[in-house]
Amino acid sequence: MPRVLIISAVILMLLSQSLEAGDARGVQEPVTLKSQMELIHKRFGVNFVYDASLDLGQIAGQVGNDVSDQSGNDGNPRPDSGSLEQCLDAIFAGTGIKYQIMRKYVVLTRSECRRVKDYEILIEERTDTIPEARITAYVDRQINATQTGLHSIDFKNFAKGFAMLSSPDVIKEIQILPGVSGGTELLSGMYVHGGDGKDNLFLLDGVPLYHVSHLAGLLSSFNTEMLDGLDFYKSGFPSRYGGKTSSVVDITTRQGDMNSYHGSFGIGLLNGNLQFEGPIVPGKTSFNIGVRRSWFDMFTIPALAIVNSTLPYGETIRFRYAMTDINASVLHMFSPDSRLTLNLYCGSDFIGFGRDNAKVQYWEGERYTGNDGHDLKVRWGNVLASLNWQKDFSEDLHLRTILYYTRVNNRIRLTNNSWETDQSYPAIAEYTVEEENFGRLHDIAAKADVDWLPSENHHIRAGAAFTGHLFRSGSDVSVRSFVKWVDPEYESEDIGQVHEKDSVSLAVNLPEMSLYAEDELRLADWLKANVGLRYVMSGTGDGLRHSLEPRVALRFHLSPRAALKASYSEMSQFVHILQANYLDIPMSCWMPSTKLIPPSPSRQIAAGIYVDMPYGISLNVEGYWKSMRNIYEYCGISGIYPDLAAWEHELLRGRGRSYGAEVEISWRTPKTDVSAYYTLSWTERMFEEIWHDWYPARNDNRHKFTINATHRFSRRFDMYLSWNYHSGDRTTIPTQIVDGKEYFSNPYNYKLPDYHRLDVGFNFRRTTRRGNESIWNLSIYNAYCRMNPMFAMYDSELIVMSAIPVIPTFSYTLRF
Amino acid sequence: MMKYIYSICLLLALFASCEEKVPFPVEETGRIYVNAMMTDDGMSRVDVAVSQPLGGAEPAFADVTLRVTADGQPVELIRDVEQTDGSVLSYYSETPLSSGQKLVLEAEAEGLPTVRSETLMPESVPHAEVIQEEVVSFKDDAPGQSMNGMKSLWQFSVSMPEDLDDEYFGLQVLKRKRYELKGNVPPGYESFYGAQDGIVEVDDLYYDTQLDGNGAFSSVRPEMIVGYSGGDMLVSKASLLQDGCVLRVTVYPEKRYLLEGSYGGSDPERYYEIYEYYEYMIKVLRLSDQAYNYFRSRYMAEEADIPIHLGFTPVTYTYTNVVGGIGIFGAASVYETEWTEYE
Repeated sequence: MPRVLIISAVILMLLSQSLEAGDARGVQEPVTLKSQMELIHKRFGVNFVYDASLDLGQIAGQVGNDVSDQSGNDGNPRPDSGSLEQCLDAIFAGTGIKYQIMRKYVVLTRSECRRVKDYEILIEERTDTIPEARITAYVDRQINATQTGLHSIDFKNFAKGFAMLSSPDVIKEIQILPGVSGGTELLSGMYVHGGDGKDNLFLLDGVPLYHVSHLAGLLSSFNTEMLDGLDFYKSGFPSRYGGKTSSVVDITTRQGDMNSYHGSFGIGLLNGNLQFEGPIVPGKTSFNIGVRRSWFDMFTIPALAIVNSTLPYGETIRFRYAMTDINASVLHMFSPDSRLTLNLYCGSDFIGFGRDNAKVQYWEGERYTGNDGHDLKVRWGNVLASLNWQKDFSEDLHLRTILYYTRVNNRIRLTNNSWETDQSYPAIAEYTVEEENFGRLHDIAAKADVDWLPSENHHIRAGAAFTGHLFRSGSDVSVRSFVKWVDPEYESEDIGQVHEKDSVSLAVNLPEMSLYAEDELRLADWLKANVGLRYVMSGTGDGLRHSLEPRVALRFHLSPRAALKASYSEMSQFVHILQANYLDIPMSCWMPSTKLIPPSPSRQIAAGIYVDMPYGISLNVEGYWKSMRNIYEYCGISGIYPDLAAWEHELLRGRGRSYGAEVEISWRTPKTDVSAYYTLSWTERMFEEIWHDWYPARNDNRHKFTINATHRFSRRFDMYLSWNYHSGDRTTIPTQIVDGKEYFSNPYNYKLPDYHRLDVGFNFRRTTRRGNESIWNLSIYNAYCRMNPMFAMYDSELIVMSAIPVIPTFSYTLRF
Repeated sequence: MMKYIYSICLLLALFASCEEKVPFPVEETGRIYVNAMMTDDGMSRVDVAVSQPLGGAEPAFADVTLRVTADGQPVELIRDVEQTDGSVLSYYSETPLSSGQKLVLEAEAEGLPTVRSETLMPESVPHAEVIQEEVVSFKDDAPGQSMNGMKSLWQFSVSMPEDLDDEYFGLQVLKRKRYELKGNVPPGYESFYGAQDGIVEVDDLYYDTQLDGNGAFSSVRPEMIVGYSGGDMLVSKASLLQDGCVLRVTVYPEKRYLLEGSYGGSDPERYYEIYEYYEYMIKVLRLSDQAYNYFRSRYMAEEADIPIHLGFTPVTYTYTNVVGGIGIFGAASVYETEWTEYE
């Protein structure tokens, strides 16, 4: 009996173990192509390249084809024994997907697809350290993205293009895109779909950057050597973005290499740059740092020293300009699922000039000295610091939290001193103006974003952010004016003297909270949607203001190579620029929404068709209609630095609208890349305090056409060519005269002559004896020296002024 | 490699060009121009003309037919012959207008489009508080009027009630000279000074403070001074006036004792003195929205720091509510303080 009991117990235990095993097998996740690809990636070190429309969530291969199956009883290859080809054969058999091995890449295509040529360029451009996800991100992005109006640019395209003055420029790259007006030539204006140029959201690793240029807009603030990728949205904004009304430029910086040290060095006409990256703890922690600095003050300082030594009477002239920016990031991997990134950016500009003129006055043997001169110092820039923790709870659930601080700052100090002998009295008149203006905005924020894929048909993103905007601006002006009698005879007489000082300072805090949720829905194989909602609440002491912003984007796949898209989005902006002119100079202040300056909302509808045609040709046609409310025009008295004492009364409130159509056509081969963009658009404004009807906006460029081409002649030589054309900007000229006074008709009543120019660039590459790559770049801006109009002046006749001739530039880059 | 360089040189040679002047877009016809300020003090003025297209031919004098109504009732316009010159016809009206009245102007001229404009007579002006004081005497930058090179500022602080956020006001200082002749005044002096005695003129305002207009980048106390009725007018939103708006005019103290002397030798019987007195009055105009917009646009066009045509400054315009034409059809209610003598 005991023996029977023991045997029975053993049998029961075996049975229960068997049943548990069976249960466990019964609840096991289905073996998908994606999971099998990851196992292959880990074992063979290959990366997969595929069209994101491929269904990789399907069951891998035929029944029993699990390459992770360690039993091997079904006769299929196992990862520890079969070759790469055998494993790939096994998992893709019967799935409708075929593969092609290209060195360290496995390119997946549909079985019916004849060739995979389109992917070759991408593979060749990428280094082996680029993860699979980055590569797939660029393949057929336009067709597969749900959003309209999205352009993605990878940093490699910056580097091989055109290097105006010193280095490739992000904003100038965006300026040539359809739907974007560049404003004044050579500057960093960006007027997207009728925007005012200050309504573009620039995000550097998820953190807003307010001032995005150096040297009055000649260079953008982004060091392309540090960039990884860029997403530019001009319509169809996902809910995760908000805060500005016209566009989103989401830029990510490149993280440092975990395994080896390398970098680059470059020098151009304006500045030099150095970038260096590598591991701190191999495989765990890395860094990447990039520094740019202008260098021509190294010439101006000694040159002026020589000039000053030749000037009489102690006269001295000072001038210095310097631009610096530093990007740095440190990445630490706690585990493959958890990583912490520290990103820093600091960009600053300084310009100073002045003149001193020592003066001497003798009166009855006495010597009197004074200074007659002026001094101007201007500093501006951004500081940004962010701590970013990313946690992957599972393959389908990710969390990203960011703490950040960002600051934009400008400060102007002016001293103007005059010292002169009076013409009619034995006196010395001294007159001094001291002025300081500053504008600062500090943002301190925390935000969290959740990324969740609950099923194949949903991709949910949600998040919350709290931002404290701290506005600090001020002006101080003082005037001292007095007459000093040098003849004692006059001592008793009244001395004319004025000493006045006035100042204004603003300190406003604006808390802002935002919540968003969006879902990327796969409603059918041919229909995908991105539906989201964003809520923003903000307020100063005069009350709370709210904004609820629905966002919808739809994508209909007509075929694997054609898609229709449509989107509707609402955006709002709670901070506004107070600027007395259109120049990108640091004489502006960011200000909060208040009772008198309500937030600016915008609405935009966009729709288009996106087609990938044979022979590497793709065609996109998109139309949009956008309305803007509560947009502001400066109407203050000061034309240089805005008045702060009553700043809310210095802004006129109006409306804007813009509509048009954009066509993009591109042709891509392994050696040649040609893109052509055409925009037909209308942009208008309505300010009842200015004019009683709609009038064209300053950047109402009816037609815009751009053609870009790059061709690689050999491994050592490639060429870039870009021709840009757009209808002239608009200006206002007087048209009628009454009693000797000139009167204007409607604002912006005159279109300047059309704008066009040709840019060419050449890269000469070679490999140094140490195996490093060196690149000589020759870029010619405005190659045929078209003197394009910058502005018009009316002075008994209409004169259109041009300033930018042909500008050749050399730059040298060494990658090590 | 050389072939690429040759290609670049060829491109440069082919396309190098420059251009500076462009044809001026001359408008085909002139427009009816209106400059009207309807006031509630029975001193409304309307100027009307036909403008000349800039760069075009001078327009033939056109007879402009003008109608103004207040709440549908015609407002009598009287031709001011003294003010009318060759190109501008001036009218005035003594019809009393009252707050809230809807005023409509229509004008026609042969060969030109009919113009129409509307405005609303503002509410009456609240009594502003005015404080007067002398500020400072200082050296005259532009000697000529002063006798000893010194001048003084006479300051008026005007405060408005606090519940007028969105209202627009214009402030003027009116000056009246009075003469007192003592002793044996030479023949002809009495009639000469008598003719000038009591003439009212709008004074020029001293630019509020030397902090502005002396090369400074900013304007810490924004002020907008425009020309109106032959003198300066400070234009501002009421909310900016609540804390007290300062108007300053320049006076020359020594002129109070203008002349002394004797004619006919040292005969004390023939000694005379002529005293010149100043009297001041503050005129407050509550402007219609259109009038304010117009004054601001003219200010921006004529006085802005940076030359407006450069294209880098915000939009330049001349506001008009004269649909089909140019100019302004504005309205203002008026309040005047008592005359005060400068001491």
